[in-house]
Amino acid sequence: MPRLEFVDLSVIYRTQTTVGPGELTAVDGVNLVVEPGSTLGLAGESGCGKSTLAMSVLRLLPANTRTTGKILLGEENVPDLGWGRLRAVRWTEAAIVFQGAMHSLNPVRKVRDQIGEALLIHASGDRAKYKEEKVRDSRVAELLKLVDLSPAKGNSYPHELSGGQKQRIMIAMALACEPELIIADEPTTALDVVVQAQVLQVLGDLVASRGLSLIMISHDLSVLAATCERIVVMQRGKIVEDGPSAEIMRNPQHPHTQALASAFPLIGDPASRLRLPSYAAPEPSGTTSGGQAQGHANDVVLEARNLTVTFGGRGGATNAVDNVNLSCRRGEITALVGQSGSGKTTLARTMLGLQRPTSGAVYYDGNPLKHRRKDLKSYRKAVQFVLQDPSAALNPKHTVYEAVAEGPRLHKLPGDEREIVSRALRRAELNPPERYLATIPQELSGGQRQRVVIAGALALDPEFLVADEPVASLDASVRADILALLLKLKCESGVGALVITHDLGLAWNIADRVVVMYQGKIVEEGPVEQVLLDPQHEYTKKLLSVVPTAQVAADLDGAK
Amino acid sequence: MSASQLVGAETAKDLDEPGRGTSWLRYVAMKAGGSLFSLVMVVLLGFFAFRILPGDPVRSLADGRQVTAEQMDILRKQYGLDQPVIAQFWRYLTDLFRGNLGDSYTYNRPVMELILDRLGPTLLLTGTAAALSVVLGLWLGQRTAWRRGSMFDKAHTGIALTLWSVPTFWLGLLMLLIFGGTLHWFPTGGMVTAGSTATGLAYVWDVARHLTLPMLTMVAVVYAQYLMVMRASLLEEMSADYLVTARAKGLREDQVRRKHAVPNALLPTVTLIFLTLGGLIGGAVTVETVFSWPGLGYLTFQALSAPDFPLLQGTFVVFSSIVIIMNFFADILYRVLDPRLRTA
Repeated sequence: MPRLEFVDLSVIYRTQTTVGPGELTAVDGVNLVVEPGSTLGLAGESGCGKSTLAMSVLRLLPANTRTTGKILLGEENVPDLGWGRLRAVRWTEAAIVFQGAMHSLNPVRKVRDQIGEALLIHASGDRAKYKEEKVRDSRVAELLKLVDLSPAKGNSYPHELSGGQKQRIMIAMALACEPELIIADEPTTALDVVVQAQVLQVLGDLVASRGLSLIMISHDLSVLAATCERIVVMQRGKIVEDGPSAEIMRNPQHPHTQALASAFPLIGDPASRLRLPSYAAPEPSGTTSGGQAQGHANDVVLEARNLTVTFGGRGGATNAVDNVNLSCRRGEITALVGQSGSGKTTLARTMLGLQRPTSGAVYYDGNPLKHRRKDLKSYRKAVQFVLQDPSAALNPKHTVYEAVAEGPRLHKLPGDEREIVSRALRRAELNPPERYLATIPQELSGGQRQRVVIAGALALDPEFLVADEPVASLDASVRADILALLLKLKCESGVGALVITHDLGLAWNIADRVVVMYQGKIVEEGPVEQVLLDPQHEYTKKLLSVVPTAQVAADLDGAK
Repeated sequence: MSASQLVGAETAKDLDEPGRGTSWLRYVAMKAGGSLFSLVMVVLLGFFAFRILPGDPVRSLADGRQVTAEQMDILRKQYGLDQPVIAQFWRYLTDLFRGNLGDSYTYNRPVMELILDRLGPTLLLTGTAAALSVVLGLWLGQRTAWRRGSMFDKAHTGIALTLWSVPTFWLGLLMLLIFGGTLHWFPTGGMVTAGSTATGLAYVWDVARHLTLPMLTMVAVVYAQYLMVMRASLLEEMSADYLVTARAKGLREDQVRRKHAVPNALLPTVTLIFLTLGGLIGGAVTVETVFSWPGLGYLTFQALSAPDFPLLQGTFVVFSSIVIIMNFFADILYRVLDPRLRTA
């Protein structure tokens, strides 16, 4: 069984910038050994070089890269292999499970053929029998069964499968030629927590039962800890920490590891409750959920009453939102939790007046929301929203100034426009504002972009924010900062928020109340501590069972 | 259903399981309905548009000849032009259902007969030109995309775009002048040599020689659009993740291109091909006129210069129907090629 070793490996991208050709070192002098049969987690933020490192194993990097150093797969140095030998090595000695369940399969070919193709091109020597279609088909059926899919699913096209099913197809494909090393590049990132757990289970079991080596790449330390013995943390192309999983999870040494760990707080851990590395809610001012509830018991600002939203279809209508009652109080953060398809985004869109309810109504300050242009306009001044992906939410051609000034201009806010914009940017912690006014989104980092979106909302001085997965597209360290900003806005300016998320850790970090939604219905709601520490509904329990909690961490420690 | 059943391990799998889409029959029926509606609109337009045109057809028929008012009236009566428009329209509709497009003013023959006579040569010309330009365009398109930025790419996109921007009649005349007039390699007009009684292979050879120049002119002008679309859609696919998957599996570069990239890149191209095939027949007007090719385009040109309303109406309805039918085929074929549409 081959051993994989990186010896002083560097990967350099040639880039084309405005000032001429440049170079970017993605992987910087990495030394790493993966022993046969071991499982290794590779952690880091986007751009840290972890995917580049993984791709270099099969020499899949784009043409504008240069590598120095050695990648020893068994006895062979991958950079020195001839093309023919390289193609033979690909998939037979090491195979990759790619991230994009969405995009990594060819959309116009049946998944069965795509799995079979891997068998066919390597049908020589021991595998010569796969030249026969019948043998190949039975092998594909066998592989599908391995990943808990019925062989009939093989006749599907990728778009006919769910995200989790596609990812399991990718795993089946990776196992086709019985490689001894599996590289899984963010295999579950785009998936829901529950599906994620299922896919990790399948992958973990297969690797363990076959004694394969596994390199798993993720930005989520808890995912790695669940499947790998050892975790390596990368930052800016270098390895900054390397150790056994339990050790890294319990006692991270490097500041970057700590930042990564903080992004996925342990639910039930008081150290992360209403507390983030860069900001903690002030203790005495009654910001705990109990105090808040007393202070604003009747101060409901935004409310949904018997709200139902039905989407028609030939196959019968679906209730995306099914008779939901939800109230958000002034100066309070409510987390709306559920997996994709639970109707949480539809509920948020309806509460923003972007979607008409089929029945029921949204109430703002006790008055029903009307869908007339004028009414909506004044409503939108008071309730602003923050979208998931700041890169998509900002017009790439508009400067930050334009993006933030648009709202005040539309609503004809009194006062100096420049002053309003600067104040909004300052509140979103883009300091000093002058530095950002003339920049365009492309020149900003992901976190800065999300701050600009938030500044655009704050410019109208809203009472309430509705945020749809505000940190889902952001890196771990940036996530904490944006959440800190939301928490600070609540504590210091009294801006309440309804935060839609699939991330229970987010609720634990900043929310006062949590509402759990499942199949269009609210199945559980209450103060964060109550719901997350003592869940009543089966679905909440299920969600909690697949995220790191203080309970699990304690068990882990106990086992040591 | 109890709560624990609701949240079993299979929940997510079943929840976001995409459903099956519309049936084939339904899809075809829907598209056919749409096409039928367009055809009806064409029939209506075909009648009224030509009534709005200025000019008295009878006067232009009698152009340059001494005709008395009585003779004019007789002509009007003969073509039914003395009746109110509604009555004329009714006659047009009922005739159309019987496959009768009226009689041509200039040829004194049924329009249907004229069109059927000329349909063959047009289909021959546009069919060969289309086949050649599609093959050439798609082949060059994928080669240029795969070797983007190379000399091959630059040269071919350059040549194609130059030819694309050249006026068709000008290019046709130039070809005529060089290969027909100066070099005498090819005949300069018509489909067969005048007075020739050749049959069998000799006849085929004669037609092929006459076909070459008009066909090459058409190919030169239109292949660029296939090249550019194929190139653009392949370039878009080239960064797709599933190509990395294919490479990782150990496929050779040409297999990656042929088996994975091209089938996907072909999808947008197919629609374009069918859309332009209809247009190509319409575009035959210029080429056929320049080369005196006895096809529908040339017929239309003659009908226009008369003006011969029944004939114009007829060619208009035929041209438009071809475009609509081609679009219908494009819709059907697209669904065959793209599995995603089957569930859409």
